[in-house]
Amino acid sequence: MLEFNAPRSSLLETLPENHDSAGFGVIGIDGAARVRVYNHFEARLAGLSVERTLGKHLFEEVAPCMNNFMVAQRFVDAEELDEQIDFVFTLKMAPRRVRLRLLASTCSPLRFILVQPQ
Amino acid sequence: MTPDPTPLADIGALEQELESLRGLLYVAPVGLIHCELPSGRVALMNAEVMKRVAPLVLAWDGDSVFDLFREILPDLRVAVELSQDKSNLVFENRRVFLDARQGSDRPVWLSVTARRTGPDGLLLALTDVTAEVERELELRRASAWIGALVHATGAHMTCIMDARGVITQWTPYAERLTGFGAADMVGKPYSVLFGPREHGAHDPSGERLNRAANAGWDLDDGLLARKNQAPVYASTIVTAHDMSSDHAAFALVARDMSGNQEAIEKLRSSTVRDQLTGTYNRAFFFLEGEAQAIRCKASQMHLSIILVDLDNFKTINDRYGHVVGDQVLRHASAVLRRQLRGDAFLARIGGEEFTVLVPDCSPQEARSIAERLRRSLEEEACALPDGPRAVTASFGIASRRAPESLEVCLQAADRALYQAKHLGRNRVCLADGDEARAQGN
Repeated sequence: MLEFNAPRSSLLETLPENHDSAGFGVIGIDGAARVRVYNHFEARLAGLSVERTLGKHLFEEVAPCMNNFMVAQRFVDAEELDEQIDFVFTLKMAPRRVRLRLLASTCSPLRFILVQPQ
Repeated sequence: MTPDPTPLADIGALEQELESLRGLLYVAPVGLIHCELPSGRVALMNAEVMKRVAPLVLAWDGDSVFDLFREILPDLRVAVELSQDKSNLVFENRRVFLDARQGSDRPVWLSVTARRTGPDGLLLALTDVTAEVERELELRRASAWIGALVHATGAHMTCIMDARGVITQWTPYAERLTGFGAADMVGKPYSVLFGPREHGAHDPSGERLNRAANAGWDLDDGLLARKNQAPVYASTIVTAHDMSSDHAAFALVARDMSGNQEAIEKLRSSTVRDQLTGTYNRAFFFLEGEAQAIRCKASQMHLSIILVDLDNFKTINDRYGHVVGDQVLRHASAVLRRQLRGDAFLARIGGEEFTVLVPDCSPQEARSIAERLRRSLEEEACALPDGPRAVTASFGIASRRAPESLEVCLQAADRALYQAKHLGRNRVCLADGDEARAQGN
């Protein structure tokens, strides 16, 4: 079972393949911010289907609420990233508090945003 | 009778439709908030809101839109109440400003429209207009110039001044417009054209000469004095006439704009005033404050900002309800306004926070103004449900000569205000460094 707080290296290794068993939302993006991983937990949380989300630009087409200095900008600013922030999603049009963990490493082609509803 | 259950095939179609609608609302470039009235509880909110005002959403405790926008739209609830029974439109395209003080990484201007969706629903739409506002700021002076040239006006006049602004030539046109003859005016500083000032009031005439010398011209509008008649509303342009000549360095052109005054004032009051207290609103404070800061920087003058935060306001609101809270805000703003000199600029910039902007004012002057304001709030009791009681305030001052920016002054004043609160409220604190300067002088 995957843990939200597991070490970055093990998450970056496991998540590209094994994300549907996670008890939290997992979004994986490539260097151009296109969605490559979107797990079922996150799809249920956001009310969006996995199929419609894959391949889209995360910050412009899927979740513009994260397109600001608090999330999107961090991925631009740092190649190595492991930070947790409190955030509010407007999932299904209602405000919902979540904890985000932002992960990036030069060793991994994908960057991840983990979403833990509060 | 129960309705027929929806056929399964239709449920699939409905789900798809719902998902595409949701997808649309996620990416719509307009922030939408739907809330319940009178509580203000937010029922629906889209992603754009989070994108534009994330720091406010994260700092938000509670579920009411009035709490969410407490700092940037402090008079939202009053505006909603005032519009009741009149119109579904509460307001349209109100400018709202947020910056680092609200946790934003850069200055942001939003345009907000509020509309009732029925007796118990309110819809807010937010768009980011930062780029437009910045362009407008650049154009404002230029358009005032064009407006003064093309708008139908009455009489006009010119006169010539020396390098210090003393009138050296007075024309027949000037006599016709003002009634003053050359004998009245030649040899006097041109500031007499704008009539007597209250004792201690700021005289901008020197600044205007500096701007004209640096930029070629300076435009302003206001009252122009006339002999044995009421003053007339006029646009005046001070221009660099012949800077090599000691006694004809500047020229002044004034045009009678009295026909336009009412329209101008009306436009001003509807877009720049806080609806509850009648003081200037937050959006106008940042526009005007920025302009003042630039002016003070260019002319090496002091800019003083006094932040005023009412003490224990939350307790008053919690104990007596927001109707009494509103009365307290009106009382406090009226007391402050009575104590201020003519050119001081009073604005409500947050729930219970006011600012006073005083141009060309040293730290010690700013402190004595703040002290006077503090005392008058302490002395003038406010009628509360369980009897009259003084509502005091804490004051933070920053006073900077040729300030870097409005932002820098505000941050310093904010730290001083925090200190005043920390030291036990109902007191005046100066920002670091300003204290030493105030005593050293």
